[in-house]
Formats: sequence, structure tokens, C-alpha cells
Amino acid sequence: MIQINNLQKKYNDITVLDIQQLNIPDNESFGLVGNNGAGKTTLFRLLLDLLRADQGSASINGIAVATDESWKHFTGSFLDQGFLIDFLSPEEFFEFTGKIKGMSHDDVSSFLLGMEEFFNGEVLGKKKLIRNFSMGNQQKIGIAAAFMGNPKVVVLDEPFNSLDPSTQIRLKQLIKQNKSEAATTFLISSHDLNHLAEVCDRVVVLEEGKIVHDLHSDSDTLASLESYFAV
Amino acid sequence: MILLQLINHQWKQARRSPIWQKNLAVNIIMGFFFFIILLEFVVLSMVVSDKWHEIAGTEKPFTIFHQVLAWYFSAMLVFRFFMQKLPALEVRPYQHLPLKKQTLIHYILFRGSLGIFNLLTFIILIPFSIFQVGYSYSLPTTLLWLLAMFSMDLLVNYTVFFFKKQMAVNTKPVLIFLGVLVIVGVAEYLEWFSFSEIVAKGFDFLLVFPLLALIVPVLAFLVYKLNFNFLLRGLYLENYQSAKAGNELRGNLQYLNKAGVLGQIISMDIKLQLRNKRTKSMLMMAPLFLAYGLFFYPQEQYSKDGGFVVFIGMFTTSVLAINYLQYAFAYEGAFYDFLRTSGLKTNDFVKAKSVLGSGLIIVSYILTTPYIYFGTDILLIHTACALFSLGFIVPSILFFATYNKKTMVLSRGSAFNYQGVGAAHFFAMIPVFVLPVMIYLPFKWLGNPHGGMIALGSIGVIGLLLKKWIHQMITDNLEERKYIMSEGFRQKY
Repeated sequence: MIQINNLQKKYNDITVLDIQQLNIPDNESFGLVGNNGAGKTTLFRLLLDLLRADQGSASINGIAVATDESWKHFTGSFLDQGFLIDFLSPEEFFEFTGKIKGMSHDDVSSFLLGMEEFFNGEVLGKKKLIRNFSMGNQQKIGIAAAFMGNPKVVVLDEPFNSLDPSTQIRLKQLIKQNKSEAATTFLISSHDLNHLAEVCDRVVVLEEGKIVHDLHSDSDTLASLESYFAV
Repeated sequence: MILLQLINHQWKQARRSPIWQKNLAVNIIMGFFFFIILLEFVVLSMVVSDKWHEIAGTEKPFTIFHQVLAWYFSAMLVFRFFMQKLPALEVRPYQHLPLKKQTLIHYILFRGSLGIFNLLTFIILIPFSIFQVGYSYSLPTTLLWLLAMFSMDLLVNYTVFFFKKQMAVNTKPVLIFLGVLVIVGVAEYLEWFSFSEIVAKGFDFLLVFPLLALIVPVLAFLVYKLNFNFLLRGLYLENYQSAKAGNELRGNLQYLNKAGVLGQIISMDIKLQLRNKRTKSMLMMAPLFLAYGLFFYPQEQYSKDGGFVVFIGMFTTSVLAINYLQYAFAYEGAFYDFLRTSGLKTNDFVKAKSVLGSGLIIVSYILTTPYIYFGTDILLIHTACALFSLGFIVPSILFFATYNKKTMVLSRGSAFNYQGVGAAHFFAMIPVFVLPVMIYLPFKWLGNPHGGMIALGSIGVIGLLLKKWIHQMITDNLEERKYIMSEGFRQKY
């Protein structure tokens, strides 16, 4: 589903990302972990064509992201606050996103119905603008929007941040459910090793922009991750 | 001294604000304008003070001046009431530190009493005290008078704070207060009884019995104390946050939402304009822009001079659109990453901007048709200008806007706010207004002003015919610059 070849990004001659080869097959849930500044967000931004690559290329479903825009129709993403339109209400935001993704009003309604549990009654019908929601609820809105329009690929940067414990569990269920029912491919970064080990088939460790570990999930993924990051 | 430390922080915050650091050219231009205006005020105040006994024209120049002051302070009262707020939120980063609550409150009240209005009071009072009061009365009397008048300013200031804080708790006394103000204003206007004369008599008294002047600073201090006690009892930030502007959700533009993706983008953009403080305060200026012609058209020499009418015509029909389009894409800077990844077609985005910009021109044009009162030629020129704007100015400014790479931070008001504004934005305005005049004038000089109007209109029509092609050009440029823009917008300030 995702191919990365010799992808490099430099800032002022300092290489912040340098990935020789990375293939993520269909329907894999791919976890990304690394300390601050390791290049996780940079990798996601390059993959979503939000940064110019200095070398190499990334492609989604065989489409080179930098030259062809059609991957956007089946890729959902939520990286940070820049993915929310904060002066809209959640309903307006979902309607807007849905329209762009080619959903009808009814599609959006039934999508939101399916998200009721994830929202836990804290998002819809509040007559509030997104900017007036708490961080956790804003995070929920952004994540939900990434699931709109039956995406084949969903990219989430530290999605567990600022979510309450119940919502963290619900998010993990949501990911697993979409993976098994809709065959979605996931790319998720996190600082929480437990979450990644639980949700991901495969966890890649980045350090200074390079892949230093590529672990396929089995019983001791968590143990090896913990030993890697132990101080 | 912790108070000095806090003031020092405030000073650092102002000085290190990226607006000052990154935008030298804009700073110089604005600083220059500010300096000129300030200078003009000072000179005006000095001249008026010097000649006051002639201007006032009665035997009681001081009474008349005091009446003016009474109005000035009342105007300040109203003005401060709507414009100024207590900088209570500024102490948020210090509240959890082991600082005395009293210190923070003194700081809030002190900070709140400083502002551009105080400067105005200085400019008005000092020349008058030198040229008039000092001329007729002894030095101690003059100084006491000055002290009383400055204290008056502070008194007004702290009274406003007190009422505004009451408002957060209970709106009733504030409504009564405003009601009294309105009644006093109406009574004065209808000459039932003159509030300003009463106040002026009081002020006159201060010159006769100068020691009475000390009452005013004492009053100011008492109101300060009142504020202080009130804050001491309830310095909790939640009391101040409810006043945040634009939190309420209203209007949903359903009809636009039905019009497909384009309609969605337009409705999103309209919401952006209406729900954010900065864009909203820019919109409030709109009537002023549209009324611009009223300053010139009533005068024969302007309304007959075609070149000047073209300038005003361009201004009234297109300034709103220019103001909006100049910062296109930068308005969306805060969520540009979302738009880029969502699958939104860049061309649709450009089209939506163009539709809204054109809409603003058409609305401005319709609203300014009453200028026909000053001559049919004015309407003809406005029509030519509107066409020229639709076909030429809209696409040009939109193309220019693709070079934006600084987010407009929308949560702050627009007055004196130049964040996100580059020097280029100022210079771009020059050709917009000069070019049409230059196209028009040769025709006029050759004795054929209507030819000039036709030329302007035709350029507009040609632009409209090439719209599709021009939109594609703008789209291509946006895509060309996609990384530069996303990266620039991500740098929040």
C-alpha cells in the first residue's frame, strides 16, 4: 500500500529523515515510535505531501504523492491542530470534510451515528465551535474526521495524546475494527509503547531519522521495545 | 521589586513580539504615519490652546474649555467602556507562583490605566495649561488644575473598570449606568439641561479655590481602592473568560451547503470571516470605506475631475474585495495542512475565493449607486471601475495572494494589528488605484472621457472572458508553491 524509496529530508544541511526502503503492505497496522526529534512527524508530513522531499519518493497505492493528488481521496489523516477548522462547529466540520470526500448529507449522518460511541456524547449537538472544546474532544473530532469517506489508509500522529482512558480504549477498538472490517491500512505514531504493541502488527523505531528497528508483532514486541528505550 | 519585574516582562513581550521583529518595512511605514499623526495633534493642540480666548469668543474661555473637557471625559467614558478591558488574563502565568495577590492586582490596575488614550489627554491638557491657565493664574494653581484633570482621566478609567467587572457578575447596574449616560446625552442635545455646564462650573471652581482640586485625586484613589477590593475578593480567571468574543454559534448558511463542494468552501469562508475577531473587526470598517465618496463628491472640484472620480470609484467598489483577497489562503493558514490533505481541489478553492471577491465588488457597487445623486457620470465611472475590478483586479490580487506564506492569526482584533501583513501588501495597493486612473486620463485629456470608461470596462470584460484560464494559472502557482506555503503557515507567528 505504501512504498518509500530513499526518502530524505534536510533542514540546513542536517538530515532529519533518511529512509532507504520501507514497504507497508495492504491492511497492515504500522506503528512508529521514537524519541522527540526522531523524525516521526516529518515522515508523516512527507508521506502526505506537506513537505518537499530533498530526495526520493513516497507513494500510496502506487501513486507518487508529490505529483498526483488522487491518493487524497482514500487517505485520511490527523496530525495536529492544523487539521481542524476551529471556527466551525463539529457538525459543520464533518459536513465540510464529508462533502470534500464525496459523501452526501445522509452519508455523513450515518457516519456520525457510527461514531457516537467514540464521541461518548461529548462532541455532537453541543452548539459550540471546535475552538471551544477541550483538547481531548478536539482530538476526538480530528481523529473521527480522518475516518471519513471509507479511507484505505489512515495516518494518525500521536492519536492517544490528551484522550481520556476510556476513549483510548475505544480508539484502539475503532482501529482494530476498521482493520478487520474495512481492511484499512493504519500508520500510527505514539510515545506509548503499550498502545502500539497492542494495536500494531509491526512497530518501527526511528532514531535520528533512520530506521533502527523493524519489529513484527509477537508476544515479546513490548519487551523488546521497552528494552530498547530503557535508560 | 516584583512589580517592576512584571512590567519588565510586559515590555519584553511587546518588544519580542514577532510583529516587531520580522516586519521592519511595515514598522517603519506605520511608525512614520503614527509619528505624523501624533505631531499633527500636538501642533493642533498648541495652536488651539494659544488662540483659545479668540476661538471661544466669550468672556469665559475657561468655562467653555471646561465644557469641552466635560464632553471629552464623557466620550472617554463611553469609548473606554467599549474598547478597553482589564488585562486580568495577563497575570495568568504568575497566579500559581508564591506572589502576593495584592501585588498582582496592583499590577493589573496599573497596566490597565496605561494606554493610547492617556497620551491624548496629555496632548490636550499640557498646551492649554501652559498657554491659558498658566497665563492667567499662578503656577501652583496651574499645577493643581493639571493634577485634577489628569486624576479625572484616571477616575474615568477606574470607573469604567469597575462597571465592566460588575458586568461580568451582574448586568443590571451596568444597564442603568448606560441608561443614565444616554439620558444625559439626549437632555444635553435637546437643551433640557446641560450636564457639561454643570461639570464645567465644578471645574471653574477649582481655579478659584485651587486646593479643592485635591478632591479629584482622592476620588480617583477611592475608586481605585474599590476596584482593588473587588478584585481581591474574586480574582478568578473564570470570571473574565466568559466575555471572549464570537464563542456563540449562529447562522448555518444551509442554502450554500446544498450547492456542492464550491458552496461548502464559500460557506466555510463566510463563517471564517464572521466568526473570527480579526476579520469581523475588518468588516466593521466596511461602511466607512463605502462612504469614502461622501468626503469628496459634494465638492464640485472633485466630482467634476474624472481622474479623481476613477480613484474614488476604484476605492469604493473594490477596497473590500482587495482587503479580503489580499490575504486569501493566509486566512486558512491555520488549517492549510487539512485543506491540502483532504482532497479539496485547488481549482475549487481558487474559484470560491474569486466568487466571494466578485460578490463583494457587486455588493459594494450596488450599495454605492446612490452616488448618482452627485452626477450621472459618477455612476458610469463606478460601473466601469466595477467591471475593471471584476475582470482585472480580482484575478491580479488573487494571484498576488498565492505569494502569502504567513498565517493570519485570526483571534486578535484588526486595529493596529499587522501580524501576517507584509510590506508587499501595502505596495500592491498602489498599482491597483493608479493603473485605472492612468488608463482613463489620456482619454479625458483627448476630450473623450467616455472612451476612458469604455476602455476600463473592456479590460474588465476581457478579464472575465479569460477567467477560466486565469484561474488555472492561479491554481498552478498555488500548487507550485504548495510546500513553501504549508511550511510558512505552519510557523504560527
